[in-house]
Amino acid sequence: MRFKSTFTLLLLVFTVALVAQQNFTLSGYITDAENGETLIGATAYVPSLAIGASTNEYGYYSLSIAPGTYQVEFAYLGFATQIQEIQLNQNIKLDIELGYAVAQLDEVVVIGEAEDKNVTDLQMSVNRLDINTIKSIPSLLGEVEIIRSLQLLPGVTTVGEGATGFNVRGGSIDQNLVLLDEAPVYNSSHLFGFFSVFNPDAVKDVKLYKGGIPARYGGRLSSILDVRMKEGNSKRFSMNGGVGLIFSRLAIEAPIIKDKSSFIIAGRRSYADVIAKPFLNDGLENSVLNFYDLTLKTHYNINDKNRLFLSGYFGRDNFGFGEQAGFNWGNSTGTLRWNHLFSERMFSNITFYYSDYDYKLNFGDDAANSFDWNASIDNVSVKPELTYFINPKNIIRFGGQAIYYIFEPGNAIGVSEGEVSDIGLPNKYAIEGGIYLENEQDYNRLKLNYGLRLSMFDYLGSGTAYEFGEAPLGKRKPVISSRNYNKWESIKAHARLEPRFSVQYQLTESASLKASYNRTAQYIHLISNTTASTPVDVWTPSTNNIEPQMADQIAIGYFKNFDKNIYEFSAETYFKKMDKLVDYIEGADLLLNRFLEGDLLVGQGRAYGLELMLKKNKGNFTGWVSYTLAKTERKVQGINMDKWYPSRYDQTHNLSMTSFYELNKRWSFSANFSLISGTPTTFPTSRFEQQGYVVPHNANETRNNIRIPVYHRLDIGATRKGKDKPDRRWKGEWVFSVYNVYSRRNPFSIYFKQQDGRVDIDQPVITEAIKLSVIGNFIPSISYNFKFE
Amino acid sequence: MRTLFIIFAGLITFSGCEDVIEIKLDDGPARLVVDAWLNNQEVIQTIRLTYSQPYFESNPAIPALGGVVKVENGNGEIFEFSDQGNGDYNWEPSAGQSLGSVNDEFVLSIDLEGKSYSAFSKMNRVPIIDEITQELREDELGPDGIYAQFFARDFPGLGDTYWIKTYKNGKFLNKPNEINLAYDAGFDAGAEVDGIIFITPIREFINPFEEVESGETQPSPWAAGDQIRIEIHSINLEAFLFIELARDQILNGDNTIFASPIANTSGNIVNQSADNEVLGIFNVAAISKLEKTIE
Repeated sequence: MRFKSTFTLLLLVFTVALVAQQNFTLSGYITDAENGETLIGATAYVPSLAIGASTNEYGYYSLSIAPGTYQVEFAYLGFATQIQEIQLNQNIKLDIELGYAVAQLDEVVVIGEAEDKNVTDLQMSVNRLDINTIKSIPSLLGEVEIIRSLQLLPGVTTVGEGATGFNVRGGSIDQNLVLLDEAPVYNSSHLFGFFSVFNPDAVKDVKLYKGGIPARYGGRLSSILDVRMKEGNSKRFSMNGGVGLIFSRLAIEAPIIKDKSSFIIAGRRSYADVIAKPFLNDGLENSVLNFYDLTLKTHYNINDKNRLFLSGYFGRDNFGFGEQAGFNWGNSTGTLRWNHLFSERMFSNITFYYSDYDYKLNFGDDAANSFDWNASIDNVSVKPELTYFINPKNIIRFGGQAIYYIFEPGNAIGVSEGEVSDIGLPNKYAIEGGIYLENEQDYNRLKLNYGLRLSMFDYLGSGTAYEFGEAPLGKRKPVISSRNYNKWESIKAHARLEPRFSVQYQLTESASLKASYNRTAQYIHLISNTTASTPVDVWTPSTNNIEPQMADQIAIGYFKNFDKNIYEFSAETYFKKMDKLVDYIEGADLLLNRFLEGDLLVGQGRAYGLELMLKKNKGNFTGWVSYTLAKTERKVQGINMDKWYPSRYDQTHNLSMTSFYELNKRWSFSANFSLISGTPTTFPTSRFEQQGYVVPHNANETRNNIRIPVYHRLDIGATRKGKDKPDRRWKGEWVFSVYNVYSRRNPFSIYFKQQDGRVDIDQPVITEAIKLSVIGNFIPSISYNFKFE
Repeated sequence: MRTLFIIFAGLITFSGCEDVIEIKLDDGPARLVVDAWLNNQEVIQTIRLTYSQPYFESNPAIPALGGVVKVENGNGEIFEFSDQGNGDYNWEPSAGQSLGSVNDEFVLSIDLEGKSYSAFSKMNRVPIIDEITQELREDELGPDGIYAQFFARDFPGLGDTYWIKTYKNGKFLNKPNEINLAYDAGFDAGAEVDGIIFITPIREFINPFEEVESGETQPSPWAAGDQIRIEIHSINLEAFLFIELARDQILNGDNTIFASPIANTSGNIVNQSADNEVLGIFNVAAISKLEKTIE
């Protein structure tokens, strides 16, 4: 039945496509006149028809309208709007360069009006952060931080300072698909979670989908973080960089062939070794502790119809303790993309990417006694997609993706007095596939986007599949049989249909209602049961024992702009239901355990909330206030007496205020304040003695039964720009910031322990509760940024 | 393998700031606790019966008095443990007598306040300790000084579980972070490190951990003249899983932001009369030991 309705939908979409009228098409790329970067989301608008088009992720727009003469406005926030008269009596290709303020001949210039996209866009539950906004937010140690900036938006939370990743609308961190130029990044953090892997100098655009996820995205339950890199300045050489307290950055961009090809190469290296020294345990003074990353991209506009992009990322965190122990981890990604225009109305892109996350640990400076351990997730993918701009009121997208995964859950070799034992686990293999069809339709006051994604996953040999027997709830399941599979043999195949739907209804010129529904499936899982995920956590595929995670989310929102779009307001409410979530037995052994699946439990989740956001876009004083009221819960057979309990990142109230003030051309200020309810944690009820040790015991078997205290923090920043002289090629700025201004010791968690020190026999052991704060002081910083061109 | 990561995390995580705070906890019912870790030595064997208490109640545990406590071995020999009036129940062997030997099976039975409890344990094999070595270390992890290692070889065959105990000048190193466990020659079952000499971290985990001024705990070297005694206790699987999880839970706070969820230990004592929970472990260990004086 379900398949039948899918078929009907497909038929409908193609019928719509075929009846498109004979119009002419105005199309092209919109770029920044300053540096040649393509602009994402710039608009081409025909006021006389009240029709327009936006540029896609590659800066391409396509507008098919009836023949005639039109005034067309090309606009992008913060840029001077260009108005051109177009005689559309044939298909016209028109590339537009938007500049800041300088007028060109024969053109009328309107200085960038604030846009009404908040209201008129079909898309809801999406936050776009402009890289310049991110750069203005006061940050820890003055380092511009993309992931931490996202946490200032409604619906985005974290388990605490220093924890890697982020949680979206009650989802765990592995439920976010983090894309860097379309390649997934499996661990988005440096130094656990203090800094993200994205170098702000190389980032162009950041977009987070929390709901209403279009059918073209798949693979994770809760969100898509789409980070797009700059192409590099195709006009002239430019260099920018910065020197801060924790790391230094340098980025170089230049044309290879002017207006046709350019590159950017951006690198960062930390001196965390120096910073962290006071925090390190005694005896570790000779430790190595650093991280670096390198981001590069180049593109080549072959001709009007073909463009190539090649981008890559390589980053590493290194820890070392003399010759005795070493630990390093990092991601590498590579993306090759080919944009091809089949016609003015038919835009296609095919992406090939490679992505890898791996870590290595080693102990022992002596070959006869050593331990080496590494693990990784590797994948290659091909992803073709086609956008058909039928007419300004109808866009169809169609595409697919195939990913081949190699999971190395752990290669480990221990040598003890020269005797070698290989305790590693065999690799696991899988293929993930997806095809989708998406139709976007505009009926004046009503806009629709509906689509369907069919995703498939095949857990492949070679490998051994285990069958587990029954065990008491919450206890380790025993292996009862195993079967070996050959290379490429299917061990277990999964397939899911994922319907997606969004609607926008324009209430008035400045207000709209939006609603969305999406079903998402996730086939790979991060095996992690610590409060903050660790770098050694391993990804595992869905298998014969692990089913794909599923989520259904509905969201409804009201969007309103005030005062000529200077103020944007949005209120969204959502309900998300999750199933087949991976959880763990008590005392689970998650690493180097070939019978890992016997330690896993299956759970359900639900999350609901209200997200409010008020944003001021224009003027000397800008910023936003975001407030989220939310609840997120889990229910797992074998945990919390099988009853619902709040998840570790459940935050009832989350308020954040971010503001920017431009005093004059040289000085600007920013401030950020967060106020967040305490997250829940678990405490024992009792203690008992065994062999002189005091063992904690939770007699009620409750999970997350206590709330840690409220979190609040104020950060401030100030930027002082150098004197602006038109002919000066070197531009510098000083950035001052204070993180945690009033030195609050915000709790990360509360834990319990027995008092330190050796206890004499027959002496009572004292047990106490400890509040752990990751940052206990205000942290001032100063950094210098420069630009040379 | 978690153990290994914990060791590593301990090295690299930031200390953060820690403040002792007061919080109000839920109440839990007091439960009977059986602490019955016996061995094959010709010394007084003690089983301790107490009750669990509220977590922040730091007084000694309340003893369970008036119980009848017996251990029976596979040969039908019954050992009666007598109530000492403080929670301890003792059995004193006569000269040349012990509870039994390797491969013997034992049943513990307790009658207390009209309820009966029982438990089962087998005395597992224990490898001999070949050698304790010492080494002067400088410019390595931890303070300079003399560190020791012991050498013993695990039996071939999976599933041998041991608790390695260290005594410094006759005093047991009893801090939770000094609990040294081995599953075969490695850390845990999933690793399948079998039949070889215990792996390095286990061999070296016999050095004491002491607090230094900064409040951190780190390995502490031995001094010339110190007497070191190593005992390997063979323990049953339930005892191994119990003490491993108990240690991880007691030390969980040291993992700071990487703490695990709280988990209850499972014991191997069964309440025959009702299904209310009883806590603790019954194990009869075989012990091998070796001593050395640090030079």
